[in-house]
Amino acid sequence: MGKHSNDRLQGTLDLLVLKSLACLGPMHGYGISNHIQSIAGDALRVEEGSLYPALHRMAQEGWILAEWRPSDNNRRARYYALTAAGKKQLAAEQRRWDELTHAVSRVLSFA
Amino acid sequence: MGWFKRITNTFRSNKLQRDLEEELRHHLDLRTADYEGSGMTPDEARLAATRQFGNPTLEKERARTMDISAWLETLLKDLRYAARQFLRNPVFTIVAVLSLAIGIGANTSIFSLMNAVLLRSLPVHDPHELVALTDPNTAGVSVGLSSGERGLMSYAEYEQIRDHAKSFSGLCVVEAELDRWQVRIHGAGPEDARPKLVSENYFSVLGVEPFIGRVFNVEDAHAPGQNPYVVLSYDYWKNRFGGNASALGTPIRILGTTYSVIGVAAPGFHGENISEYPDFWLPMMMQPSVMPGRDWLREDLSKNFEKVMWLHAFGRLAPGVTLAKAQAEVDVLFKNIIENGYPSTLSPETRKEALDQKLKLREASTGAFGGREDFAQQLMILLGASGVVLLIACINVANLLLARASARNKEVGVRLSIGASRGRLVRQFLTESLLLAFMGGMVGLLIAWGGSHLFAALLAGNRDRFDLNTSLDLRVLAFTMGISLLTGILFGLTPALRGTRVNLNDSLRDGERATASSGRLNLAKGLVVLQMGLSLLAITGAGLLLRTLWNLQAVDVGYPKEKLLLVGVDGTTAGYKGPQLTALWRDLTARLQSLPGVTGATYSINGLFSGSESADVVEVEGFTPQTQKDRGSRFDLIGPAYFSTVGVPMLRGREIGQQDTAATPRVVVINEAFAKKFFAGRDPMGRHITERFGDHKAIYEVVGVARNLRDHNLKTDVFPRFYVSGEQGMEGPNEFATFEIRTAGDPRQMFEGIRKTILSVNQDLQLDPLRTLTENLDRTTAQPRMMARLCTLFGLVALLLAATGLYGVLSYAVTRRTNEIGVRMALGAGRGQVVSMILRETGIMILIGALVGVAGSAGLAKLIQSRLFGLKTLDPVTITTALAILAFVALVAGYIPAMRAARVNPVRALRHE
Repeated sequence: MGKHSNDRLQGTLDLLVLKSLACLGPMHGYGISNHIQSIAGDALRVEEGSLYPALHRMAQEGWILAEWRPSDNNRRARYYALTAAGKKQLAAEQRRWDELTHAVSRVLSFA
Repeated sequence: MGWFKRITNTFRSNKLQRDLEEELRHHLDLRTADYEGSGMTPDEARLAATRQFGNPTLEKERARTMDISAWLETLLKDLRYAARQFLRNPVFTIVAVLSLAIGIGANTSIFSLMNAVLLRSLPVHDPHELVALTDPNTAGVSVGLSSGERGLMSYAEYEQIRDHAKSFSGLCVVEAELDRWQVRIHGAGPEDARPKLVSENYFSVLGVEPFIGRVFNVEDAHAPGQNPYVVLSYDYWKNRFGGNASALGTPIRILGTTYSVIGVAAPGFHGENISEYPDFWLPMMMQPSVMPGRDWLREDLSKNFEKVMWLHAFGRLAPGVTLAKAQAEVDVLFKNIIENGYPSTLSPETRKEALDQKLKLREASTGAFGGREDFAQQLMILLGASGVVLLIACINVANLLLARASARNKEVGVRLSIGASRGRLVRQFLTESLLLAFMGGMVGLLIAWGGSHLFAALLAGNRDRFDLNTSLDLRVLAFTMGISLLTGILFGLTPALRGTRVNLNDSLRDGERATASSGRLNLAKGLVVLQMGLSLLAITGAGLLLRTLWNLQAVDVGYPKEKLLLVGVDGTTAGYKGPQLTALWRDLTARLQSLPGVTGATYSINGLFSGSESADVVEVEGFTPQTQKDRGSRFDLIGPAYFSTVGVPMLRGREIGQQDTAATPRVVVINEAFAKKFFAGRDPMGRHITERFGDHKAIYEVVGVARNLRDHNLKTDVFPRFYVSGEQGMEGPNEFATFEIRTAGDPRQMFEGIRKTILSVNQDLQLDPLRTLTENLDRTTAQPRMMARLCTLFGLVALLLAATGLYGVLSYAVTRRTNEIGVRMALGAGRGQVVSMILRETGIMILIGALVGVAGSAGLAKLIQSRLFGLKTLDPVTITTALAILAFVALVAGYIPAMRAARVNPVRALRHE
């Protein structure tokens, strides 16, 4: 049912996840959520549970690839890796984000 | 998400869920461990981790919304919601479902006929291996010299092909006509039955097993007249013999030969012809016994150029043989048969014509059906008409839904504002329309169940008995489901898209008016215009067919149609030969003439409008033929006083009389058309006409010219025809005669007396059913009449539905404009002005609709031109009448809302504001 380009919040989460995966390489959900939190700190509160539907959806869209691998603590964990389509999507989302923030800051700085 | 993924998700659903659970648990465990590491107790850590994670069940649910189970659940929810909506608006639901049911029912009925005639396979073994060597779409008996593609085959030709062709694993023949005969079963009194002659391998080639007893086999082909056995059809066995196994061995007497019942065919099998239901089958070898005096089995191919073509041939392709390969083999075989099949004494021209014959093989899984192409063409026209009805019904429902969508504006607004996606709402709307369509389809099936039988009976036309298996099989059900689905989407999509395009701010604000109603109204009006156009098309079509029928009925046949009755008598079957036949016809004519109430009696071979015709090659004194067509003429062999009895005046000379016998010089009467074509201004009296058929020839002297009379068709110009005395015919005395009897009173009252009079001469004389000329004419116009009736029915339904649509849209418009009308009236507009305002709008819609309709009608008329008679392509009378009817109905439909508008109370309307 279409892409979620008009849905800012969801788009933002997508952007954050894609960007994290671009930085970290293949990583499991916990790692992604930790990465986002460690950089954004308390300013950006993501309910951790909502990460997984987003991952599931992005995997369906083909932006990321899910794969079971053994993790550091000897358990199985699902690792997500960025695909080529995901990279494209990341660039697009980032451009849109930039446009939005530019527009907002222009409005705000208009004295 | 695509369908594929959604489905793989269902299959993997358990694994998906387990994976998801493991993943989430992994996350929670790591987070808990983290917190524990930072000094929390395990319980605190677990709690904190869970809190931070949110609601795992909810998340799991969200992650799975794409699953098909969820999809189905939503569908069920939508269906329940739709059903509640329908229950809340019963009038809307009933109107919508009924409109659709009528449309779908009509289409399904017609389709079930098409299915029966064109698509359904015979209930035999592997029907797709069957090929017909003759044209399974023809029927009857054809005697003479054929040319071009063969419709039927003679028995001698069949034997040759059967014995030499290698392309078939079996080849059988069957009579191409089903007659009613008098039989005596087990010594009981005479009764009517319908037997059919088949070759002894008929059942084995078709792959039909006996139900009890046995079917024919090689043993039943000993010699002509030596195999007096019958196989009963299952239905006949059930109805006539009570389904009793003791029926085996029952003697059945037909024309002096006693046959014995040897078996009953498998249930459901009623022969190779889909519209015929023979009571029993006889071996081909018995042909000379059931048609005494006519041996159609033994024919010296090389001696007789006049072939009796009376059989359909069906073959089963041998393994690995294609239709093309079989055709190639049959081409070679048949060419050889034809080359040796005509005497060398034939004139080169005739020989050339005779050699130009061909058998065309065709796939025959759908069996034989005389006149299939014509019937299919009629069905196409009817399918078009019922399609128009369905389209109009769809538009009605679309308009109803549009109106309802506006009423649900607020509901949609609320649902959108609390987070429903538009796609979700479109889906909800579509589910509703599909449910409507499905209900319409269900009721439509009920209509079709009765309708298909009714239509089949109506379309039977001049066929005596016409049973088509129109049962609603899977293909018909699939068709109904298909058109229901299609109509559901057709009428549901626009309202769904329109209805969910809602401006939240407007719709949630209080007040009814703030909706996108003008856009909706324009769309609705556009749809009504289309309906007007379509219904004009439907009534114009009906009008053209009606006028065709009336034109046909008004055709002057050249003699009085009333008080004339016809009966065919077969002399040969009863054993008459040569001069005995002449005596028989004289005797019968005299007896009939002297019957009280009879004012005149005569006979002819072909009768009047009885479906029989004769033609021969002629040479006319002083006439040089230019083309092949100039070499032939139709003719009839007639009794004394034929013209005066029928009621046709002689223009010149005298008619054929009692004095014209085998002993006197041959004379001929010609009709006007003959005189015009062959004598073109010259005086025909006393000139000579030579009739030729193969080696035979006869020379006649013209003694009279009769005014043109119509004897076999109403449509074309009267053909040139010559009339010879039945006693002076080239081939000897008539074997058969149709008596034309003029009565003083109602001819129907004379039927019994006439039948008795004829049988009093000889009980064995075979009589055709007695008919009046008007009955024969009615049979000739049966098909145009039924087409006109059915199309008129469809046209009326279309008009009614369109009027309902117009009424609905105008009523809705008036309600919407109550305020505006109130203001207008408050400002001084009178009631008359309000009424005319509404009617003007109606008028504009009709006008545009009429333009669309007229343009469409022009195309339609061209399409059905071959079915029209006596009309210009775009008949102005029909178009004008159709327009007037449409305008009248539309204005009535518009007048009621207009009057309602005029009764608007300005004060109340404004207060409402």
